[in-house]
Amino acid sequence: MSAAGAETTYFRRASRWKLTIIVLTAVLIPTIILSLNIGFAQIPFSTVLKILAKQIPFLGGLVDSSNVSGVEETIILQIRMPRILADALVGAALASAGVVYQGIFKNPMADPYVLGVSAGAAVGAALAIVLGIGFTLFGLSTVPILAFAVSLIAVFVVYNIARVGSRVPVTTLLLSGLAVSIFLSAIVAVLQVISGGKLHAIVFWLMGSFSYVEWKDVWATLPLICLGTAAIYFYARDLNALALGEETAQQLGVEVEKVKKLLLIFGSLVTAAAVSISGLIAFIGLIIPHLTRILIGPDHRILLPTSIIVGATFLVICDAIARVIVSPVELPVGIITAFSGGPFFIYLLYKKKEHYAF
Amino acid sequence: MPSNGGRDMAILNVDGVDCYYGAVKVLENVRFSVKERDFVGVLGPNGSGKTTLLRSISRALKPHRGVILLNDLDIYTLRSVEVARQMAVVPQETTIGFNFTALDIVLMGRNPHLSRFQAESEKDLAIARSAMERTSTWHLAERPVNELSGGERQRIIIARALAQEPKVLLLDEPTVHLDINNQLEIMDLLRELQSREGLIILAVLHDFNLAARYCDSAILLKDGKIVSAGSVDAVLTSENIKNVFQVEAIVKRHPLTNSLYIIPISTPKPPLSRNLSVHLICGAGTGTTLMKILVDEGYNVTAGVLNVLDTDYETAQLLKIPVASDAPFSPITEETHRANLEMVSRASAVVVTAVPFAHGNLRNLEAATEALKRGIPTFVIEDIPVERRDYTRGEAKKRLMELKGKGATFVRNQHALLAILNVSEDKLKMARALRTEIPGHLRPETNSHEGGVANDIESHVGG
Amino acid sequence: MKHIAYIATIIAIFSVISTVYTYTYYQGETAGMRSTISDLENQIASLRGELYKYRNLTLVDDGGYVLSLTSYPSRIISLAPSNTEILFAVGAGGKVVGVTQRCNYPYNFSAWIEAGNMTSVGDYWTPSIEVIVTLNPDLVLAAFDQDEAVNTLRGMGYKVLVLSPNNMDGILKNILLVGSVTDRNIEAALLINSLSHRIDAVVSKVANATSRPRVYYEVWYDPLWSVGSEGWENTLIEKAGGTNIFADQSINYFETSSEAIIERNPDIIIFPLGPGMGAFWGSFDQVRARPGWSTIGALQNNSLYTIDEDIIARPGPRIVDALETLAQIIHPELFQQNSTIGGR
Repeated sequence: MSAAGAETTYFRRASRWKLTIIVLTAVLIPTIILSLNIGFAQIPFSTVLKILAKQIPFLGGLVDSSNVSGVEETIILQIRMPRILADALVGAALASAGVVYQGIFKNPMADPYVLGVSAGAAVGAALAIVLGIGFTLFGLSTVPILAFAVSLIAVFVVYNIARVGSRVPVTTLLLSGLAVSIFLSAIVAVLQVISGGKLHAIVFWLMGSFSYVEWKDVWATLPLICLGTAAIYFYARDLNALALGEETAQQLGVEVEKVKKLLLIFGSLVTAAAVSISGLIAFIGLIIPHLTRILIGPDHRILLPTSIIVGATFLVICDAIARVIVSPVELPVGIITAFSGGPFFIYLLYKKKEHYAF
Repeated sequence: MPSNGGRDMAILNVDGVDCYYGAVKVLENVRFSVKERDFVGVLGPNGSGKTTLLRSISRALKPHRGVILLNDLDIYTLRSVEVARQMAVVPQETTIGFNFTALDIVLMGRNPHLSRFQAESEKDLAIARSAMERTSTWHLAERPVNELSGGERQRIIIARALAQEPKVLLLDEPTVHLDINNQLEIMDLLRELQSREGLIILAVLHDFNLAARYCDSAILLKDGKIVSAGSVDAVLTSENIKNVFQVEAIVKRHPLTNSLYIIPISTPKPPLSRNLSVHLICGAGTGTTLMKILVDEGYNVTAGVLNVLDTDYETAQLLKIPVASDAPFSPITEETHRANLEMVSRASAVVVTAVPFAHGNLRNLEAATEALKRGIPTFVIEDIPVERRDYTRGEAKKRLMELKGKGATFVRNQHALLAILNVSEDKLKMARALRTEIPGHLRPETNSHEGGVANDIESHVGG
Repeated sequence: MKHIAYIATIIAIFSVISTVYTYTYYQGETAGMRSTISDLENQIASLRGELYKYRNLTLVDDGGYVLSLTSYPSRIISLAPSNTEILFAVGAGGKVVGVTQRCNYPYNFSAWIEAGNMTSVGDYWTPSIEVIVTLNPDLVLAAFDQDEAVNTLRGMGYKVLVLSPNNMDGILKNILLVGSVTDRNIEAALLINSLSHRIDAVVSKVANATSRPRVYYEVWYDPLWSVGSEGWENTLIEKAGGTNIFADQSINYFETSSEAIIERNPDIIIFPLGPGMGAFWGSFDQVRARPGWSTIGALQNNSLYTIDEDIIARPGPRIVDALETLAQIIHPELFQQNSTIGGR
């Protein structure tokens, strides 16, 4: 490596990163628009574009929408659009939370559900289904609200069990998360047993799906997920330092306990928000970070935005498949994510395993 | 005192620090202070608390008691980033699980100086590069760090610490994985940092000699307490080493490097005492090995006359051998000579080594003569011909020939001598017992060489 | 790095702005839809009593939801096989434009769907909103446990009625409801009449029975599932003159064990036959082979029967068929043998 070589490589890398993000975003947006074309109703793509164009504030008036029926508009704008945006949000949230948790715990098996968010959300949703109470808050029904609330309570409990004074040792945190998750899963099992005829609703929620996502679900979670992932990105450099070890990170100037706490809070919030609208979609939070890390390297300053975009794109595509593959029956999207992501990830690992280090 | 262009004077004060791991006290009442441009070696056996001390200063382990001040500020009240701008740490364990490149790692050393979203600039890269060049790691810049060897990784970590541009550098056994050439390189680098840039360097070292050579001050720990702290000369004494490490060591000053060097010597189990004594007439190092061997073999050894600057004198002091000693560069005084004779008379054998003779120590040959008069078996080691070490214009040679004539046994080297001593041990014993009956006069003038003593005794006893 | 920061900030600001925008925009939309409905309600109120034909079409479903219509629907979607059967039974089948995958009576709807004469809206558990919207219905009939779909559809302004009756009377009431909403009141009334008579016939005959055999109804075999007092099957068994051995369990479907069944020693065991949860997997020989079961009275008397799952699980007109079948199984001495009963 020549003397000048490393420096120029370094600076070229920074611009390569920017290029990567632009390219990925340029892939995500058309993916979203193309997904709008996918569904039971055969709506011509030109119509889709017209409907979209009409929504743009000032240019909308210029579009000739005379042959666009109300039904088509409803389908595109009220059914598919919120669903696809929810796909993107949930994919982004789970991927970013996965990156954070793998970075903090330095454990390749860590995923966003490891601190009890999933088990807590399952308990909340199962409770809501079994008790059958109906109330709405911000337009959201009981199930997502209870799922969100109980998942955060679960994380809070996990955190406090593991806490030693003002410090949280990560191994204890993992074990505490495991223990609480097991306990909560047992509660879900009990709720399933006593649920009687509502069993299927619980099982279906646990499998995760976007079948009934509406706009109110989207704008209830959009601010939370956007701000949460932005806040996580704030600490990208600190995550790099944390990857070297907590002591080393502290010696490099990172306020380790404070950063850990904040990252756990934001990670849990975005995960809880995602899970409350979609149920438990496995695989994304665990594998997408590894996938992007294999392709792009461990530097969180590029890893985070890339994972977010890749996660969003991936879930949009998977959900599109889920809703047409056995139309009009809708498959739970978790099946598609596992089937498609799993083999691809295995392939990538196989190709790069000598160089991939965790 | 040369100024170095504006770096503030850093002072590190550790006062009354107690540290615990759980319920176990690992440091007790540690107190010392380090000022700018001080290179402090932290020494001690395993488990004495060296690493713990470093960790308490690097804020990884908060003391239960006591305070650590950097420039009069309690470091535990400062924000991590403020401390990181001034203090860098090179830990012992350097495995990194992620495949960052070496340059990435070194650049992380710039983190404390960069604001949250500020990217690394040309200047930061230049600093990193300079750090890597000084640690001979620049050629590794693009390599993934988890593919490097332990030594390469250690140097990368050192480079990262340098990139932090600290005022205090803490190192925990920085040379452990390094080849000798890299070890010296790093130590020289540290030395340079200390003198040119006024860094305080606190390094845990396991190698005394490195510490002696490069450090100005040292802290010696045992069981979590400071046994000695101060300049290297004051701390690295053979007493301290014996006390803390339970090993005998010779501490000398090397003429070339002008630094101390320490030779640990193993102390075998105290041998069974043979209850025999051997008096050595030696000097200039010729007697050192013999002294040690004889002591190990269980003989009581005495020596004389040696001048106080003589190497053999030092060895004798170390081995606690009674010595008749005198001032250098002057003839042996009457008093000392008498003391010498005194020791001679109590010996079971006398050995004259291949010591160079000058007028100053010529008189020692008189003692040998005296020994023969009293019938004490006397041996002369001749591994270097006398002509080559006679600075008395033949006088020494003459006396030695006389000794030969009077019955001294000339042996070719130490080996032969030891062989004889072992063989005729019993005979020596007997001889000693018998000697009291024989009036102190000379043996019969027989010209026998090896085995002369034995013959004499036999002839006397056997009749 | 700075650039990424700017991009991130811009994305964040953009997302906040778009959130607010879409919220207010679509709030406006649904508000618009709701105001249309309330306008209509006002119209109905004013027209009421004026014209005989426009009777007061205010309907209340099993969930207590109140729906008002100004005209009879012409495009109806059924989200449950039971609702499909009711619709066709009252003669409103011609108006049905969408059914579920599972609907199979009174016609072979799968063939219709394949031929393109009918549309499937998905399965019972997750009907597809998009398909429903595409079909543009003016009435949707839902059933148990479809709350999410129902709420979503109602939120979009569609007219949805949930038919989830708890007992026989509830089923009959729903048949009337469907009749009134499809202008088939007469047909509905006639159907109710004949169903009631049949029910009464069974009940009165059973009143003369000298015994009440103990019945075990096996919902599923691995793990063993049965039905409790809140379940349909329990009601039917009781009405047919039997006693559900698990009548003391209040949960409608629950897991049980061989032990419990052996201990309670039913006289009759009934297996539902059909696809789905009640699929009967094999033969009675396999049942006889179950360890310890040979001591059960039902096996010793060879009183093992099957029943078509579709008629017993659906809260529709054929529930009375189920009742009669059960009565024949439980009290063969009171009812003639019918060839539709299984008994191998």
